Amino acid sequence: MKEYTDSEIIRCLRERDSCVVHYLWDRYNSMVRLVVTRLGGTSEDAKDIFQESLMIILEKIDSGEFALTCKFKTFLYCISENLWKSILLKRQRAANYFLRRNESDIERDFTEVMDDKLYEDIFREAFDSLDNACKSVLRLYWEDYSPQEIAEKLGVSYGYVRRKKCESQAELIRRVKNHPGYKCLMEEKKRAGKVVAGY
Amino acid sequence: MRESINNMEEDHDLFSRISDYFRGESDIEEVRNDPGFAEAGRVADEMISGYTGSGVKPENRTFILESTDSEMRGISEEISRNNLNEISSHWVKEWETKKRKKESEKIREFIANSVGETENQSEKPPYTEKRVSLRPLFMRYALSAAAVIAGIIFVVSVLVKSDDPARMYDKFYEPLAAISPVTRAGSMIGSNRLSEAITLYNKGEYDAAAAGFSEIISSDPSLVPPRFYLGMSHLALGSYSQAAALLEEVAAGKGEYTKEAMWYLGLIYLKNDDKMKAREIFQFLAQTPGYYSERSERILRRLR
Repeated sequence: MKEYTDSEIIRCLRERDSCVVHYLWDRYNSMVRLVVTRLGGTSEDAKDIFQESLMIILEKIDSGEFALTCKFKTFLYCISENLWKSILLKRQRAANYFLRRNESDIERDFTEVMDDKLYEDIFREAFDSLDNACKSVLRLYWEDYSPQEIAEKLGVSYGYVRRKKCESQAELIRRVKNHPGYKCLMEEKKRAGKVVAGY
Repeated sequence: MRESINNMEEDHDLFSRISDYFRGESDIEEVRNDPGFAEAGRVADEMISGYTGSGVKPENRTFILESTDSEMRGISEEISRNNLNEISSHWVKEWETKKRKKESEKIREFIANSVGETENQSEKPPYTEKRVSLRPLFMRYALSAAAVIAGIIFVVSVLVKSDDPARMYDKFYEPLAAISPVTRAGSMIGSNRLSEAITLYNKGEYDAAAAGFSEIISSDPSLVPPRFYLGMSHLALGSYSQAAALLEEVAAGKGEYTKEAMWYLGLIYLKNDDKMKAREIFQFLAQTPGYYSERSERILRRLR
């Protein structure tokens, strides 16, 4: 069972229950991060967008005009994407303004953006190379199904699911680590002395 | 040994990163397949086009920033995990008691000294005499305080015990602030009818809402939301047995409205004075994280 249903999320936000914000952060920050990083943003940008999106939703809920006609996460996605795009537009206008004035370009560090793309490609390739049973178990695990629910869906035993999940996880990690792209990234990080702290 | 621990941590971090990516991907795919996606995009576009950031109320900004701040969150999680609020409040009370005791000792000393000064010659050492003269006074006050506290405890326990289930129903029941749910893909007509019926429910027009929900159920009996809201409409109209029958069906499933259905079903059992069934439901909800957890605990404390 989901920890918070959409109705509960709305009620808890209305009542300023911070536990629901923790839940939303834990559950959906990866989605918002993907939205923002794929459009050229950084992890910090993603965090700002997540917070700002929740503020906007909160204002809307308080206004009494709120009617959710989709899943909450869909709404959160749309707000985040639109908000980030509007910020990009403003930045672009600012960049154009400075260009016209012949002032120095606003420098942006694209390293994180490029690394994120590389990591995504590596993870995707490693995952796709797994066998179907591993992929099924991992996919359902990432969709927050419990081992019991996964067993019911796949028509297997609970013990099998637990075992298969551990094996699949280990195998996925092994394939990612052995991926030539990953090895290059790690070498570069070591040379640059950077610590990779999530993406 | 240290190396293997480092490797395990590294693998754990790597798998977390991989999981984050695939969870995000899976969510995005689900969002794009949501029948309400296009409409949500349009609404979001309208909301953002007029947004400047300065319009957000400061208290809302503070609430979100503090709730997502990882350090603050770590602190509040630690407080709740280690029961620090109760422990620290106990320490404060202890300190205050000691402080009062110190002050009352100073007062006692002052009085005793003053009494000692005005007393006529006494062969007994002042120390012993002070103790003998002050003890009955102290005992009298202590006994009176104990009697008052005992009285308060008795009254409170009687009042708490006398929280009868029907009264608890009145205290905890409130109509649901319904939100339009997502229906299955390809059911836009059904979605509109459902939204209309929910609007009627939210306006308090429960008879009309019930009629709307019944119509949708008869055209597609598999849909859960209209079944849930029909139950809620009956509940608002005071038809408890009809409400219970519908909410029991929804509660038995594992869908979007299971917890809501269980909550209101629990309240119906309270209304019908079926404490055993009510307790079962609220015990389950109290152990399930979410909106109803703390509320269920409050009810369970009153249910004896």
